[in-house]
Amino acid sequence: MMESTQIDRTAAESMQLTGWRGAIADLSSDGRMFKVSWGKAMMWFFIVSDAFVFGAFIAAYAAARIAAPGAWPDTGEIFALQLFGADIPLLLIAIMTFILISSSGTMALAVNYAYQGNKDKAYKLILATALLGATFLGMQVFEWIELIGYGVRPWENPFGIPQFGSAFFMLTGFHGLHVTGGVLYLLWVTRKVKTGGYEREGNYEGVEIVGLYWHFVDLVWVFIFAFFYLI
Amino acid sequence: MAHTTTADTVAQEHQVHPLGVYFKVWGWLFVLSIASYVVDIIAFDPSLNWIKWTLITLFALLKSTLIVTYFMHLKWERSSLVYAIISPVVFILLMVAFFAAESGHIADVRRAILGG
Repeated sequence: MMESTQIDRTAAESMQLTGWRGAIADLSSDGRMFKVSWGKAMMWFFIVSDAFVFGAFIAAYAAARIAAPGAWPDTGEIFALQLFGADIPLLLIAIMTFILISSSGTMALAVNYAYQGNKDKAYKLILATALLGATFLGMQVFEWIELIGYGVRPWENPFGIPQFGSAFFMLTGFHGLHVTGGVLYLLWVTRKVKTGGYEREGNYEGVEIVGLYWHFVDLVWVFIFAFFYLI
Repeated sequence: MAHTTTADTVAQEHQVHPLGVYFKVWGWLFVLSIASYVVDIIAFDPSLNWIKWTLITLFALLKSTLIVTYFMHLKWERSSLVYAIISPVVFILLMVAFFAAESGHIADVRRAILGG
């Protein structure tokens, strides 16, 4: 009888926590639904819900663009970079894409080395991932400054219809926020690897969990690159 | 538990896979990105733009599949988790497709009534 009441109670109830503390206690209590650790299950839970956020944004962008009462600007021209006296379309965006893919690659290797217990390599690779992410962000800031300089605003756009401005700032802005959060998260994990936090816990799964988040950020960029910049 | 854990069981419980897999996926992601960039740059006859859009969408779906399958390790997770993750995402794609179809309709109606 004692045991069944304990099972019926959630972590928040048994610890008498309410509000956000209660929510955190419930989400982090050691419940079993899938045979993965709770931390990993919750990261997947977050990623799927976040996929819906970006799905809604991309749906809204598609709706605004297809039903737009005017021509959509040519992204190839707007995001062209001058190199050796010639305009190369979308060069900056292509470089950003390769940087983010590379950061996903270093992240995947970092997870592997962390599980092998190779602290030094894991540390260097996660740090490299964070630095590549920061480089990506720097280029995005450059791009925002350029477009704001041209007079693009969320409500107006000198190259054509204003919907382009709102879609640009909404999609890249939200993605950039995720990258920013990801870089900070990566730096925190870097420090924990370096100071031996995971080693003491005897479990490097925290590295895989930050990896899941980081790959998701890369995944969202795949679709922004394809649907916003290329198409 | 910690004493009986051999390298083998670690590999089974955690996501440790040959590094070659990651380098291959990495390479394919580069190739597919370059391919979609090239497809975008090549000048198409406007009436054939649908080919361009189809290819770019196809490459994006392939890239995302590679990332989720290998980098996010879904290939090696239990099916209960895989299904729980993949099935809602299918509805996201459906939602985007429905929104796109509906706005095409809106644009057609506007053209029919207002002209232009």
